[in-house]
Amino acid sequence: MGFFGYFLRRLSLVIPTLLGVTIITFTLTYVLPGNPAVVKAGPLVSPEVVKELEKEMGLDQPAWVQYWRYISGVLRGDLGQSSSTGRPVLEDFRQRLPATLELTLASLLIALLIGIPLGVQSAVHRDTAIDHIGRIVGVAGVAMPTFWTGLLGLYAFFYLLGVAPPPLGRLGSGIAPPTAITGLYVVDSLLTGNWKALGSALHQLMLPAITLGLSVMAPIARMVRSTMLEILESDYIKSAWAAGIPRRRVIYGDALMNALIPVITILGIVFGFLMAGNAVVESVFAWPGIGNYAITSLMTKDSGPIQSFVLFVAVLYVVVNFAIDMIYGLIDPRIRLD
Amino acid sequence: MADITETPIPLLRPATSTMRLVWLRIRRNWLSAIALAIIVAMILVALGADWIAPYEPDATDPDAALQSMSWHHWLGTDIYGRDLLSRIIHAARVDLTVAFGATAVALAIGSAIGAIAGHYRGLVDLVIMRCVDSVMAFPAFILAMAITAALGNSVGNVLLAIAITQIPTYLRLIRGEIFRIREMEYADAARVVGNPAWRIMFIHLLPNCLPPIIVQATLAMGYALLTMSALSFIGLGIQPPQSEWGSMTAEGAQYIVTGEWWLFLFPGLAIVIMVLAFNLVGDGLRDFLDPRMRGVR
Amino acid sequence: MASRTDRRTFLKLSGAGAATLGGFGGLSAARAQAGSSTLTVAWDTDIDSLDPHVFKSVGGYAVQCNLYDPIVGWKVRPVEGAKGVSRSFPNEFEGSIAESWTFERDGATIVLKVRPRMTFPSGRPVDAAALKYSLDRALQSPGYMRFIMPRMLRVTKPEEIVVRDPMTIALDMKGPTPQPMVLNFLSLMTITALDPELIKPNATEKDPWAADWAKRNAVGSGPYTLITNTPGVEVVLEARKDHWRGTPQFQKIVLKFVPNEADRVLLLKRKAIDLVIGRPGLSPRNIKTFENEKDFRIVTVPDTTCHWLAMNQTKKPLDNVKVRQAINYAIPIAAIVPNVLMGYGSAMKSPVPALTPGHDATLSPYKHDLDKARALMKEAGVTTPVTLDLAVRIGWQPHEEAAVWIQRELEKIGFKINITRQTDATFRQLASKGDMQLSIETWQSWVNDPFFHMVPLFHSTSKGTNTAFYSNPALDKILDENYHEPNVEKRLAAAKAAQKIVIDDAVWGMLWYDNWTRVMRNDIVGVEKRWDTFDRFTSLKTG
Repeated sequence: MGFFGYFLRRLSLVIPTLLGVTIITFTLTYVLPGNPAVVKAGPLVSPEVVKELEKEMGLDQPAWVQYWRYISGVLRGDLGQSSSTGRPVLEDFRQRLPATLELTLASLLIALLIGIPLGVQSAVHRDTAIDHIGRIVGVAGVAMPTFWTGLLGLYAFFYLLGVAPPPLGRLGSGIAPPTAITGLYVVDSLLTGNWKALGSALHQLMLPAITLGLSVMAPIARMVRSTMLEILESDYIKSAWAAGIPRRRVIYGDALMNALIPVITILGIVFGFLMAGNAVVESVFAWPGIGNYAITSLMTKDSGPIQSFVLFVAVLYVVVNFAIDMIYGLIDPRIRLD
Repeated sequence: MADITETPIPLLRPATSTMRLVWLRIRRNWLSAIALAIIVAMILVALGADWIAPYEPDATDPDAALQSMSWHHWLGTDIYGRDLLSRIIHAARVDLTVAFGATAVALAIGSAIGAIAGHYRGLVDLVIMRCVDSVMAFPAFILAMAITAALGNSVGNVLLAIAITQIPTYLRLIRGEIFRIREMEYADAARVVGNPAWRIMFIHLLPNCLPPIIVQATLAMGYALLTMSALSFIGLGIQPPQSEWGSMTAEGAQYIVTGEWWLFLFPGLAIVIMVLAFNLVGDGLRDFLDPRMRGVR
Repeated sequence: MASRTDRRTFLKLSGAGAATLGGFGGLSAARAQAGSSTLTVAWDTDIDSLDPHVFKSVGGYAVQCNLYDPIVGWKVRPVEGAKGVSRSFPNEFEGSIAESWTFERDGATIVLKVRPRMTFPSGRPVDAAALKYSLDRALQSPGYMRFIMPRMLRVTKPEEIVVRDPMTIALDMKGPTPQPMVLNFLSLMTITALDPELIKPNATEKDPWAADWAKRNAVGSGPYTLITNTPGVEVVLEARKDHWRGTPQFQKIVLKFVPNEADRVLLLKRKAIDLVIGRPGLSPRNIKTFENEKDFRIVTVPDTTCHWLAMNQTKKPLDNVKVRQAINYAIPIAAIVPNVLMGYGSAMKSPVPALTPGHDATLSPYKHDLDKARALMKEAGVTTPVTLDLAVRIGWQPHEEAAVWIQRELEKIGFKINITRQTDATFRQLASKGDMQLSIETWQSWVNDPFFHMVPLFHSTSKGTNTAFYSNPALDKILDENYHEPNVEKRLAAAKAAQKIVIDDAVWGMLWYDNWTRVMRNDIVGVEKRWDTFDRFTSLKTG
């Protein structure tokens, strides 16, 4: 089957999935306790005013009417209002999304930088102490709740040692953000040569990104290890050994390159973990991203941001997985047949 | 280079005795064996919490508030003077109940729906699988968060929320296996002989599905613990005064800066150790039962 | 030092000059700016609306206190024995936008004389016309003022707000009104002058008062202007050079959004921030940990915030006055004040706070006496243990702790208490629907007046705030008849009578009054605490 056919087939699965996603998010907020009208009106207003607001907000309509209103709003980009910031949710999202993306990408980078060598070494030294230690490190990374490691890190590196910066956002105090291009401070400051902002942005990112990165490193290491093992067993590598090609070149050259291809497939799952972990890590480090926004909103029962966050993450997750499928389909045509 | 070229232990080597084989594997996987021992020990502790715990978990003693570790209170006390060790021991009940319960519920529902999808195929299968896709479109924790936010945070609801996030895995496993068996020729042969369909299914399904399901379920219990603790941290977990490791850790977080670090450290360690144990056992089982499998979830 | 190696790492990374990285690393972020003029403050809320007339939450109000001037102001005087701390005293006022005022028609009209040469940041004058526009807007734009202004001042139509000359404006109230109540009300930041020329261009046919626009834009005459508002990150204020109060020392205020209390403590201890504000900002237990730290000072003054055990009278057996009295005899408040509040509060003697005119501490017979409590339970006919839920809000540390102390004592007199914890929103909803049994509630009346205080809490028609669902026609009558009673003596006597009813009926399980407490850098003085609790940064200084 050609790539285009594969693309269309996968795409036809994405659309009902997205529809299902909106139904689920709508249902969940529909039953969410906490009357949005009360939240909107504030604590000091009489029940009559609340009734009036309910009507105005369409809360007295049947569920399907409300769903229709919701879905058409979403399609128009109207995600409702946040009652804690008094702004449209979309605007709050736009402001906070770069922070989340920056943290997510930095964590992914850290996970890959640690996970891949760990996986390779475990495979090369299979069943030796190195393998066992690698395994424990990997599994321990997964086993520690991110808020626990995050707070421990904060306590040790900020409070006791003073190495890490205070958890007060994406830049140190008094440092102006770089000219906005992508919204990612690290990238923007690199592009504009703003070294001061770059240093500060990296410094602020350090602790949260390591916390989050460690928590998702294990699946990568494990995947690399098992594919590496398979490849190292293959005749092709065996003959490379026999031909006397240097060990490092075999392992980190041909073998790793081939081992990395299947790793792409698990990036989707890793991304899901990252998005989930994000919410908690952002809250620990007061990172001004959408996850933190959603969790703060949970406390105030501000349904607009929660609903939008859940929807957004799900849609993003679907899109990322779709993209990964496509990339994999391009690299490895066999997959298209499945 | 022997360590690299060595082949894995052949699966089908004529076994001198099954026990010997098991022992061999355990020796290779001593880490998993320790982990299994920890799990068993923790289950026993949870079951015997009433006898093992030195104090009542909810017995407050304002006069003994925030005491550090001592002979009276091995792991110290919290702000209400409750004994931390006793609370951690009793919390094991809730945590393990949710971990096992969520997995059991997910397994039951997942298998049932998976069997339906696999059996009826066609439109039924199509609809079920689109629903599964939609559920899987949410990262597990985010979905659990949304569900508990919507339903409220009782033990039952947290259990249900975690179970829902796990259903798709089992469902797909069972469904896939049923599809595979249906295609097999010997199943056709068996059908011709007049065996009822459910029997063919059952006989062939079980041995094939069981190993991956056991591995999956073990790993899932670790994730269930993590999800629960994260839910607690963001305020959606199990309600106090019910002690639960996650909410205890989250509460303890308030006291790190004021110097009562034990309230944060020990419940967190309990989570880490248990999740670690489940993961190591899961890993070990994977090598043991099904070396071919190498899924990541 | 650790922070130095850290800086070096970054020099390597960035390849930039060292000088530019000063104050980096958090260790001394605030210190580095100490000599300068920036104050870094941590708080825990976003601004839901900057429109003073809307008034929904404290987030907006806390910032409005610095962006707007009140019409009248609460006068502050130094607190004896505390360095650099002043507070407001009952019924003492000072001029603000209104430099002076007089009453006419036996107190039915208040005439305000506007301060001369006062301007908005735009340079336009704050005059009677601007004030008239603003008061008209308060009365007509959607929001809280529209409800409360007719209730308090009995001004219902724009025609009752009269410009007499360019610098004089009069409010014609329906009848003689207690003068302190009028002045208290006019001291709120929710009724103030907005720059009409900034509002008008943003008005639309559907939104004639530009309520939508004003939610996000500050148009006041106050000592600071809003530079940026990044929800979830920070709010930056900058001092005006030409404010009538003079130029504040802290030219720039950075309000950092730190929702997590443990983080606020951490940041303060590491001196990454100078001050924590908010309600409550820091719990007593955390405040206590700063007592022995020489780099910090704790400012604490008595306040009017009430905390009580709400007993829903629609639930049995809480409908029985004897049971409610028994509960009051069982509350171990003498242990709660030192152990939970760490001394930053005092036991409640009356639902009317100690600092509010009319307060009478002698009316309450209640003290911790379990025998008396058991006897009352017996009289009430409660013999088998009664199971009740006691709800508290997550994150309200003193409430959570006090609940445990209360639980222990109530179980000694025949209750079985389940403590439940709810998020703010759920808690509010349960309370207003009447689904609570026992809960710990809090309230502060910013208008420091016994009737303004008691009506929402005890009047049978007050929905949502009368947490006991208490209904007593005799009390309603006293409250209704004296709310606007101009005779001070008569009004105070009525306040006393009302208090007695509420105390005898044991409507509340009386707990405590909070102190107003702030932890800050030890060199900050000029702290001013007013009835509405929110900080005015303009008076703060180092010294």
